[in-house]
Amino acid sequence: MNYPMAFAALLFLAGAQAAPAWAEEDKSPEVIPGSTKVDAEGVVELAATIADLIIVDSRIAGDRHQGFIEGSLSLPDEQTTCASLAEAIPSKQRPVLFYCNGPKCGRSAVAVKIALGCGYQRIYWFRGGFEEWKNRAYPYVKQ
Amino acid sequence: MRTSLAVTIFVMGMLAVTVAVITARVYRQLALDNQRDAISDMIRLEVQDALARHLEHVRDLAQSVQHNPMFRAAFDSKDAARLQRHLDSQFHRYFVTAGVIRLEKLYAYDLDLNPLTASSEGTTNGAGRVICPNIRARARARKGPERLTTLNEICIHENRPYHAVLISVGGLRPKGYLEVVTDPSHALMMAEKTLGFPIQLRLPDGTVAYQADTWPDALKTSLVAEYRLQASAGGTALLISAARDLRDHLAELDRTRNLVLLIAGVITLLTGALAMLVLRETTLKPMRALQAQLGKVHEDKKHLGEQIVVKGSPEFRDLATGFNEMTTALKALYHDISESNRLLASEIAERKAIEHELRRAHDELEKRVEERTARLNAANEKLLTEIDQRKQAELALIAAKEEAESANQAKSRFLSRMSHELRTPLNAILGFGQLLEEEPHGALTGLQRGWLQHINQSGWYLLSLVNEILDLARIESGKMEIRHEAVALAPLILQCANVMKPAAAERHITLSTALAPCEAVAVRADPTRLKQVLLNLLSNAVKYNNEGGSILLSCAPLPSGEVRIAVKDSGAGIPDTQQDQLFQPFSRLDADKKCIEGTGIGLAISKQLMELMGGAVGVESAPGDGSTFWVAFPPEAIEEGSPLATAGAAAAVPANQDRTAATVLYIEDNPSNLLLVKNILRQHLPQVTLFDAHTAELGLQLARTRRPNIILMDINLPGMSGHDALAVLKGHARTRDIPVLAISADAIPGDVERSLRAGFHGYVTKPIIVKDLIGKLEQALGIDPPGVN
Repeated sequence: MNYPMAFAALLFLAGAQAAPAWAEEDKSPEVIPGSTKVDAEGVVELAATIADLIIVDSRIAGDRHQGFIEGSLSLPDEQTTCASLAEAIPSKQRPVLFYCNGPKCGRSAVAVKIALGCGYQRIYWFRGGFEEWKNRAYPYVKQ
Repeated sequence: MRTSLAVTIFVMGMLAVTVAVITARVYRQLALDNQRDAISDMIRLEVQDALARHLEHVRDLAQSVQHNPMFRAAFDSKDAARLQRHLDSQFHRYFVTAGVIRLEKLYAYDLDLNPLTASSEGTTNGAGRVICPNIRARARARKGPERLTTLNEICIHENRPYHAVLISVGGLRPKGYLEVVTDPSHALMMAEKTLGFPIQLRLPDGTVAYQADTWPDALKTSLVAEYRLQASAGGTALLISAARDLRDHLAELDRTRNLVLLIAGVITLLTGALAMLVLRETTLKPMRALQAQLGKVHEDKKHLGEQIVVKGSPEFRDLATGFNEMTTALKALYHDISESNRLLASEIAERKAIEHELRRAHDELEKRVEERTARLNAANEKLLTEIDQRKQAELALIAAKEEAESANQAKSRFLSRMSHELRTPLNAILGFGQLLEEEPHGALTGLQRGWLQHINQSGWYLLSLVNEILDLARIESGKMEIRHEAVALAPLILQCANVMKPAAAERHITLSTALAPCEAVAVRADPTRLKQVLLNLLSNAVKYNNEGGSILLSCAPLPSGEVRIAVKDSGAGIPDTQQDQLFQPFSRLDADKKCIEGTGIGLAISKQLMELMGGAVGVESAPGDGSTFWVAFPPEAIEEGSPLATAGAAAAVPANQDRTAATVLYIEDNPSNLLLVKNILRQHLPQVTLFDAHTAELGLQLARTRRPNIILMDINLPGMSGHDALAVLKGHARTRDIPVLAISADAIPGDVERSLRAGFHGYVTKPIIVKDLIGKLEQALGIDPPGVN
């Protein structure tokens, strides 16, 4: 019985098993066509350049309580519809930025897709999320 | 064995214990170090956590501050005083926030980090001196979105640690900054609870910022770990020490160690006991068994071959098996050796006996050798003495020989001298007698003539006797020289016959010859001596013959190869008994018959002479039948066809035809001889003038001056001898050619030869026979001789 080979096979199987899990770890896609992906710095620059940028926090209340980007709106992705979006965002041309916890979150991706579906033109997507915001030690508020 | 094992086990046990103790110590030390490190780590983590929490709190506080509408308003108004007032009020409010945050200072800046104002409360009263300026520098260096990052720092100001947090004011679109400075030690005090053990906080200058109540006590019994909280710019902002009571832990360790030691000891003992047991069974018992057996064998060889039980450890089993095999083999070997020994011993005994024998034999041999050696030595001695003696004898012999030689020589000289001495007077007697006889008839009376005849006869007889005696003497002393030359027998015998004829005729004896068989026969002999012998025989034949008898002289070769000359007479004959004595000297037949003359040595001489010539003489006779005396030559003496030897070869004669006035020099010391010769010459050679000299020197002188035709020289001269004189004569030119006749009493043929060879012309023997002398003189002078002999 060739032990090393067996062990390697086992590992591979385990990895193969895990791979899908890892794949599932990063729920959100890399890019969402039709939207512009930005990182934390991008968000600051956007905020600096675009006066009427609307920032949408796609997280649930529990996560939001931990801290959120100052000036962001809370609109959980589950509640994100064209109607709710219309409520929050006056015009479809209005630049809007979506974020949630991070790449593993996936909420903002959903919201972005919905928004795209709703026909919003200027969608920004902060894929990195609050996780990245906090990592940069950017200021945030809790209420 | 057991002792050593016990000692080994004890030592091992001790080692184990020591190792355990050392290990325990080391482990304890390691444990303590580990604990220290662990505690340090714990402190670090806890401090980091505390600081993180503190940061959160400060951040929250800062947010709260900046989100206060009054602050916003004050900030926007750019009214520094107003802002300060607000800051002060906030300061008071949050000064001790549930004991969590201890505010030290509040600062506000514009977007370019220009200080707007600071709270009047706090560490530095007034905005002049600024705490932690570094954070500001850092903030100033930023551009773009970076400016939103919240900065925090620990710094040291006036030997005190401070924690500063710089936060942007205005959310996504910053308008300025707010800095909150707090006391970090306050935040860290909380860590004590979390850690669970007492801590101490020291400021950079060493002063204690905080310590637990139990700290002093804890120090005594606890392990102290430290952690240095570094300021952002470097340097220790705070020294955090923690004391952990490890007594229980250590006690635990010690208990463990003791347990281990105990177990080690017990195990050692058990192992020891077990080992002893095993040893006993596998090694000691078998070894003792082996020892016992060895002892038995050593004591008494009869135990060889006894087997021991094979048991114990494999090695001992092998050993035991080996021992068994060995002992069996040894037994066999021992047995063999004993056998061999016995045999050897008996053999040795045998050999000893032999050796003893040998020794005895050797000793005996030695003794014998000694004896033999002694004998040999004695013999040697004798031999040496004998050799000496012989040497002496040799010397004596040599001396004797020399003596004999000298005696011989003396004898020769004697003989010669005797010959000379005897002949010389005889010469005179006979010479003068002859002269007298030749006197004319009238000179002497008949009576005188008769007396003269007697004188002459006696003289001749005496001469023959002297000759015989001298011959015999010469023969006896070995001085007789025999010539060996080829002699023709027939002529010689005839000569002898002719010589005897007169004597035979006197007694009316007929002499006949029968020599035909020896006509051409020649033998190797001495003619003179042969003649002598034959004459002797003939004379005897005449003497001992009857009146009117006959003599037959014959010669013939014999069938045996000999040549025999026989003289047969018709005499009385000789009986056998007397024949033996015939040839002995001085034996005469009928010695009593005085009428027969003779010395009786003639036959003896004849015998000797014949034998010297290699022949023999003999007689055949019977009484009344006459006698036949014979001489014989052996076959080897015969020479065929050899030339006839003539006696007295004459040398060439110098021509001196002068018959008249010849002179003769006579060198002679004896006056009577001289007189004789003078007379002879006067008688027979009157034309010759004789002059004389009585010494050789005189003669030489005369020879030189007078140059005679002939020189007559007596050989036996006083002073210079005749031979020397001759040599001188021959040496001189004047005298060289003068013929010299030698006159001598020596009638030895050898002398004649020698003289002739020396250069003498002729040789005349004394006593002088006149005819002989005259003949020779005439021949030398060149006068034709009247008749040859």
